[in-house]
Amino acid sequence: MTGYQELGALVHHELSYYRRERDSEQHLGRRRWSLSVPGLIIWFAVITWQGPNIRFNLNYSWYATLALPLIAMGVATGHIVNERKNGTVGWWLSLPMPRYLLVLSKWVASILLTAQRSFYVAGIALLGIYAMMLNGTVSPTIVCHFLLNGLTWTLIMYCLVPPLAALGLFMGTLTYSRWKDLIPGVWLMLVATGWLPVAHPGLYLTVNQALTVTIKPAFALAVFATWLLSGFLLWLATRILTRVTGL
Amino acid sequence: MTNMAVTCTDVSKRYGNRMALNGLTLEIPSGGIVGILGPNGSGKSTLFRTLMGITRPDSGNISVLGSVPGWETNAKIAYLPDRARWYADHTVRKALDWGSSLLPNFDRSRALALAHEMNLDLGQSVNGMSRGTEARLMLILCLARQVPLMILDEPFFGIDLISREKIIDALVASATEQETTVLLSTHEISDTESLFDYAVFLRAGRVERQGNADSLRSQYGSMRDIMRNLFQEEVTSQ
Repeated sequence: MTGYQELGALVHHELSYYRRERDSEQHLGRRRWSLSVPGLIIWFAVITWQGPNIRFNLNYSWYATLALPLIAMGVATGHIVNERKNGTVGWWLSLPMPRYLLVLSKWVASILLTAQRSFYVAGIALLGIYAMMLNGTVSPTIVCHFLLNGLTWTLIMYCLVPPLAALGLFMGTLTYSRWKDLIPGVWLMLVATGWLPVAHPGLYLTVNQALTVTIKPAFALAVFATWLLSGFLLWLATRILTRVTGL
Repeated sequence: MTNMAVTCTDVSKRYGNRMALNGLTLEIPSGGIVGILGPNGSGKSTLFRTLMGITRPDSGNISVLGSVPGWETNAKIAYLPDRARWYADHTVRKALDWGSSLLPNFDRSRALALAHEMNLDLGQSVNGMSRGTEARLMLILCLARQVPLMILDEPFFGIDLISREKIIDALVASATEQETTVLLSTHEISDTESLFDYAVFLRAGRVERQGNADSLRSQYGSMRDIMRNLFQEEVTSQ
């Protein structure tokens, strides 16, 4: 098998594993449905009831896309930690493939699974348009502005998915090592990094009064830097799995 | 039996205050079924993990099939980890697909034959399996590989007598037909007494006794007697 075929086989395993794991946990699956379906119905009912009275800018709802990078991080950490929790870590780490491929496959799978989980964004768009129809503000221009703004927010957040997935993998591998005490420090660094755009308003993005977001050149540089950081974090995760596992 | 399947020279591994391997020096010849025996905490599983490159020793040198342990060498080793579980969401068929796509030299037709022999239904979900059935599935994934070395860490844990006999037959077939060296750790010495061609007894991360099984039997009695004489104090204190 070539490296690409090995990576493809591993990613396929990671994707199908996660999906089937969810399916097999029937109880958990039922609980999720029992929460999400009534949740959707309640939102729909509230918008139908209050729609004519909604006066706030619906573009606020796009702040929900801020969850995408965090979802990526959670999925990535879960993929690493679950190998140990489920008792499959011995099978995983003894695969005759370089460790960087094992890490890379989980990273790719985490990004793809985050994309799979981002369909709620489409739900926000539909509910937003529905609310506009109810309060009588719907027009092609307003709908286009709303959707374009949502697309921009989603793309901005997708730019942060790869580095956050890499960070999640790195934190997951730390739990395997003697360095697991560093995890709180990594969290602090993440919070400090997340504070940068707040500390320098307007440097990376600007949001006007209509909540339209504009991307600044510094954002592209910051994204490039975080992608470089992703590579470094994946390298570190590989080193940890190769050299300092506490197994 | 002149080539060495495994060579360890002064290998040490420490977990906190505990020495799992303590200057272990060992040579295991190629061919046959080798029992790696000893009480709990004697270093058997750590030795296996270092042979697979999962754990790196703090010091010493290890050679497996003439190479340093690592992912490249793992292509030639079938490994059943200690206390392993299988992916709960897989069916037997999916587990065999996993083996076919990720394990080199995985013989799917042999795996299917073994599954049939061990009464495993291909559509059966791992989620609803007993520990014994799950252990049989994991063993099939090892036995179906055509490799020069097989490392099985407690393969009989939770397996009933009938299945155990079938597994032993399959192990003997692998060792003889495919000339696979099988390293096997087990506490079920009574059932596996006749299985071993070579035996290594570990105590506190060191070799306490090793040699050809027949020579050991003629000198010290059965494997069970050797275990009892060597480790009685430790076993009673555990």
